[in-house]
Amino acid sequence: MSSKSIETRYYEGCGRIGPIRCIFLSEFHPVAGPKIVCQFPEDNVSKDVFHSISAYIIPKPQFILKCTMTINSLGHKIIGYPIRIENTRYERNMYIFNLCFVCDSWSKTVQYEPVVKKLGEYLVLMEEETGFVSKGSSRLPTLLAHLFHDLNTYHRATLAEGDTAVRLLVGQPRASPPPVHDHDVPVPVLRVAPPSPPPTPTSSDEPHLDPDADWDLTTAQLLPHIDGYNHVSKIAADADVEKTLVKSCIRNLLYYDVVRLVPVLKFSNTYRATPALSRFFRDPELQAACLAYAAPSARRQTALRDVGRMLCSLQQGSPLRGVCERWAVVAPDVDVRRLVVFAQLHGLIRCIKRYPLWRGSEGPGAPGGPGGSPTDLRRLFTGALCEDEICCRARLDLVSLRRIVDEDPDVAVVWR
Amino acid sequence: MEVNPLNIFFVKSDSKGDRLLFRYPYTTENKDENKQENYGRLNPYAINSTEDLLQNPQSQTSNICKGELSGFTDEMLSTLFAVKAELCNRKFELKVNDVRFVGHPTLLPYRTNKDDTAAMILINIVFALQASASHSIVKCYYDLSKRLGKALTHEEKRCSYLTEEMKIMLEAHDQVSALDQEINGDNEDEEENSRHSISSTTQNVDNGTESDPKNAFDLILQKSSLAKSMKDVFEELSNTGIVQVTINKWVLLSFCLPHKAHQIHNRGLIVEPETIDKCISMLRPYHGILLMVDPNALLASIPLDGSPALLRLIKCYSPLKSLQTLAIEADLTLTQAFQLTGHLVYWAKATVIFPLCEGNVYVVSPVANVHVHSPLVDEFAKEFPGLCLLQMLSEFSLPAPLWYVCRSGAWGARGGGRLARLVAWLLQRRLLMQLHTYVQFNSPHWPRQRHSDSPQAEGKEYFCEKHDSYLSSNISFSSLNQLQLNVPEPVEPREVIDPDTNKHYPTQNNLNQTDFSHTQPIVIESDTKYKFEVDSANHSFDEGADVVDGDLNKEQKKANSVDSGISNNEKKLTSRLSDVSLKDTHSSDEDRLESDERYFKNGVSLNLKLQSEMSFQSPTVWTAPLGCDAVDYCRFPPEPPTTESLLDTFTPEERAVLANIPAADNPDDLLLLAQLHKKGYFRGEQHLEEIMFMENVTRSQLMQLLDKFKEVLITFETEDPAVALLYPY
Repeated sequence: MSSKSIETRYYEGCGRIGPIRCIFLSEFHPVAGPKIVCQFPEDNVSKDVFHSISAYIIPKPQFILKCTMTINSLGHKIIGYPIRIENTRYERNMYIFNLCFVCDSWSKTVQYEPVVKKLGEYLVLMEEETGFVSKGSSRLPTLLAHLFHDLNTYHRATLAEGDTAVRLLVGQPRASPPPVHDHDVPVPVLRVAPPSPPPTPTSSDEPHLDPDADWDLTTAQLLPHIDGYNHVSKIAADADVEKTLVKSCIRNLLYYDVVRLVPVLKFSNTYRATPALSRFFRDPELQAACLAYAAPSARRQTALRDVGRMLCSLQQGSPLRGVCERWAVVAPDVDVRRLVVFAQLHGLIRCIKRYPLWRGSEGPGAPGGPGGSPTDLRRLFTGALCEDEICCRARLDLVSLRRIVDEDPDVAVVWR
Repeated sequence: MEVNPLNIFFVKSDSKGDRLLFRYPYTTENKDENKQENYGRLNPYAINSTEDLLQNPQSQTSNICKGELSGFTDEMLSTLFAVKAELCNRKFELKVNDVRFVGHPTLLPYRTNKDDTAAMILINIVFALQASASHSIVKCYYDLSKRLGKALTHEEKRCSYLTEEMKIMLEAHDQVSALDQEINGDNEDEEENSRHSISSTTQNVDNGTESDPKNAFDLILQKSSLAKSMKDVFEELSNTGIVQVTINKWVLLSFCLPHKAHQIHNRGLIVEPETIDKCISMLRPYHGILLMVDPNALLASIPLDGSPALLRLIKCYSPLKSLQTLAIEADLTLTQAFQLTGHLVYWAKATVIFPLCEGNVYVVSPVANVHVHSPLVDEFAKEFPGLCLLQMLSEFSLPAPLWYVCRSGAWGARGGGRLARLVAWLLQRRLLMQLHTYVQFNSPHWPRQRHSDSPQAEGKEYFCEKHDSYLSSNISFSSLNQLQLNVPEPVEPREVIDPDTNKHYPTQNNLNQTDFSHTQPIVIESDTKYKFEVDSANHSFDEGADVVDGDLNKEQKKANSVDSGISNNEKKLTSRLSDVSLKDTHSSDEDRLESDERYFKNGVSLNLKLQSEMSFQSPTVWTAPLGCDAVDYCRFPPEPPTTESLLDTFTPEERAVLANIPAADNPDDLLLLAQLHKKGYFRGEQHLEEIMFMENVTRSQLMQLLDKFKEVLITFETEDPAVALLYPY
């Protein structure tokens, strides 16, 4: 793995986050026009380049709308926040400046936008108080160098000038997590997830969320109940927290990739392999992680063989119950539940859900109370809800639901 | 929808300055701003923050209002898009808040009105997109902008089209602004408004009064064909994602935004061009295509200058045919067929499937829309009267071959042709997904150490527990080969037909010869206590281990063997039985070659003409080891024979397990297993259909093998990754 082979993966649109290459402060000089006041490191953005794109860094005064502008051209991606201060003390009754971050053109830069904006607002404050920017303070180069170093190294920086201080943090742009349902099961993944670092005894042993971490109070109350088997409704009941609160807490955990959602583990579930299962057979690290999670005490070689067989025997049409019965004797060390959870987390298998569909001709039954008659249940058999969700909504156990579904000739079941 | 464009702009910049000549859609700015202000004042509890001196006024964070661009005046946009000359003819990408502008500024010479001296003018056709749109979407829009610029450059050069159109647009702008000034002379209140955005103050799309259009863009749209084309581009992008515009009735501009186009057939399905590229790179000759549209309609929609190869391919099309068959019938090379497939998939005209056949196993796809009120239910009822979509889908709940579904109650006597049509319909809508069976050699020794691949494994000693099975001796395979059996020596292939290109075309006639002539030397690394009945021939076991040992040593000395793997240790003998002239180092090269050649091992069935077209085709022949004579596949003539033994691919532990399986007694079975294992088919990466195709074995042979060796071969069913790429999950 030379650096060259990694380099080639940086292309525009690779979606990766690159470092800040340069920070510069530019202003509209009353005589010289747009120019760079101060740059760190020096000469990253040449005069020619700046001249070509100065329209997007120092726009015409009437077009400054207090918004971040990112221009991607000539090999630079420049994020700026143009600022206009109107005051009679300036030569043109107006002062325009812009503090810009320069990144590689392939880099993702959304995460820097709030930082650039906050910095801009801070500089406005400083400028209005002391003329910090327009007078070309001698501390500017140090300030930029300090910013450059701290933001690239620690992704955070604190600036203190005079009486004011500003704290900056570069966030991670993440997709917003999917909605959480009553029947979803959050599984803590913080320490299991990728087997990339060599598994230490503590990390591979028992994955759990650290309740002492800096979570908010509600989340802290929920954490002991998130064990990989309890679904959201149960967590809410056990922790005595309102369900919507639980959901938003879990969404928050999802956002930080601390938990992932899997369907409720039931022994009547069926699973199906995904194409990723072949990875399990190739990847010794994944195997080790799997064994450590699912069969901590097993002898390695025999267990691996059995684990492979167990995963393969999880086929659409054969419920987990049957697999357990078959393998309980052969591989008593392997905890099937943990194995299934692990395999789902790594996308090796997929849970097949059952969707009851009501095909009757008459309209849906009148809305009744939860757990009402089979006719009331029919309005839930739309195909949008899987059995788990119907059980949660109707407060019905699965056995009764299956019985209702089986007895009704107008109900078809689709597995997918 | 972040795929849709927010706006399209046409900006020019020349010696007379920059101007936003046209934009679509054009809406009023002021209306929206007023509304927002009103909303703000409606709240009686809102704190009036103008007195708050410490706090800066809130900055604008969004420039999208109800799916439309807002907050920019036309002047501002024209200034932004009239780039400096250094930025011309390259990608222009500007992001302001949550709007991303992308375009390709084009610098072109044009004729000024008065004299014929050529001046340079810059035109920029810019698309406004939501900033969250993925990079591949942005890239597609950039491409479209570039193409529009090229088309305009061409038309300007040909007949000064651009000059004419710009004249019309500028005149319209002047006309309306003159009109505005007249009105504003009476009404001074409006002057302020109209100065900011002359052209956008009022929206007259609804009025459409030709005599007195207040909006310049209205007037332009009526008069200018270029503006009409741009409007068409915008609307086709928003509706279908497929743009077919003839600029100046001369240049046909065809463009497809695959992210959008695939939603014509499947709502919510976003297929990125990168995914299609990946899918095409994973295509195999046994894959097939399934058209999303009627083949005749597709043929009719192809422009006159369309590729004849594409026409031929579509004329031969059937979902039952593999790409290889299609390529042969349409007289194309396989690569061409792949590329055309990629083309069809890109334009959302086709999807990749495994050709329909009765043995296929289908299940409901994880993303299928199974809602009882989905429009698909009605569509299905129209297409297949008397059948219910939901009932059909529930029949595919459990994985079963198609013939099984066909036989089951709902189908009875209705015939398979209709079922094929039905499955095709369901596949087109991504309601069904095919499952394939993958085989994994479940080694007892994990993680697998591939002794055969590592040179240091040569002569490695290993010990095993005493085993009281039927075997007690080594067997010198090479000696058996040469002495007891009448297997010919490896010789140069005889069937070289075309020595110039160093190719030989296999025909049925010379298959047997080929097999023998390329018999691969075999090395057995085996333990004293085990013996493998490897050869398909009828050799007998030697009982006396000592004798064999002696023979072996002699044999190896004779063979000038490189390995020193013979050692007597605790009366257990590790022996390497090898053939003459061993070179292990070729194995890796050959593996690589082998993977390149795989497509064409099945070349037996191809006709000669096709093969001569496939200039890149490797001249290999492969036959199934049906009889006891077929030992290995043939090689290149320049390729020296290797010492690889088939059984060498198994580790000692694996062999120990294999020895316990009764089926291992049958040399044919063991040989097939070893061969397939050696070629890496049992790593859970290739499904049965691929093995059948590549190795020319029948399904029943494989199924029997799986059954016989079920102790070591485990299977799982999952989707084909190449096909699954086109499913939206």
